[in-house]
Amino acid sequence: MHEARLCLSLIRIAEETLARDGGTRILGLELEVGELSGVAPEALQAAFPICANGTQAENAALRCHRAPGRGLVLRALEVT
Amino acid sequence: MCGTCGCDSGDATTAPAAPHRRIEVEGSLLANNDRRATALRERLAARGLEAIGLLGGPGAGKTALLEATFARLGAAARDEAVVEGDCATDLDAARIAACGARVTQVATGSLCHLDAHLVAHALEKLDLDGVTRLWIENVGNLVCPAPFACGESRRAMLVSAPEGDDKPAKYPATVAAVDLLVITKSDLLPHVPFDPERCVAAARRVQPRLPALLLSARTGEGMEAWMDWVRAGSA
Repeated sequence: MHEARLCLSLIRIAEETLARDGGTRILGLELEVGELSGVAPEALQAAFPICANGTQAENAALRCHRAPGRGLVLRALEVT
Repeated sequence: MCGTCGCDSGDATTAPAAPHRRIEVEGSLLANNDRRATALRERLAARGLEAIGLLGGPGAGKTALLEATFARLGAAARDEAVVEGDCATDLDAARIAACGARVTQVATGSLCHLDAHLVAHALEKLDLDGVTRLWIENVGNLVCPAPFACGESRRAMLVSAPEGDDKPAKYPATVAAVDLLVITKSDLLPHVPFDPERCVAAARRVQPRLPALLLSARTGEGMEAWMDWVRAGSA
């Protein structure tokens, strides 16, 4: 349920980063999902395309990497 | 795309054709809520108030523990305030109000957890003058509340004897997010296959120094140790 809200946060951070960088479109996002974050990468993957619809991250590829700890951190963007 | 269900597992990379570049980022998805939670915690601290969060599955005994706590406080219960999170109804709020404490209910609808934003707005409906402690009873859920701080200084995870001693093993993210494990309904231990040591050991595999208490809100067993933990923060 809350994965959709987290996706909206993710997209907002990505769009802000894109704006600072002067890019036009987000093609890929690398997200670190902590084992103890309480968040399921599968649910994020399912919610992402819906949340990204109409944003600069539309059709972008979301890649989730598992990591130790509780973090939920956007590590890198691929932009154009 | 996988051929079984159409998910993106396996070959998830759809390589972009346009020239592209990579930007390193360090952006926490929880940063917004964390910021709000910190601001709320500081706002409460400025009033001399500490917030204690209660996490646990539905029926773990969160409201019953509050009732037993307020019963022990007697008339001083009027200086306690509670934010009650539930998907629907104000049943729990009515139970708390009957104890003489101040209470506001957040009916989250289909939302599975409270967050700092919801709690901050819930507090607009509470008169905090004279209140010495705030309780935040999260939605009954051992998964979703864990990552979302609500302005609490301390959090307790409740696991009731009938739920089973495997709960900390099954929900490590919640264990990682709390400061105390409380095994509730100890009066039912003779009737259910629950090993408190196994329960505590599972929690300590996630947090080696996590304190743990065993209590019964109904019989009062273990309540003194709980009250000591509660008061420890108001020094």
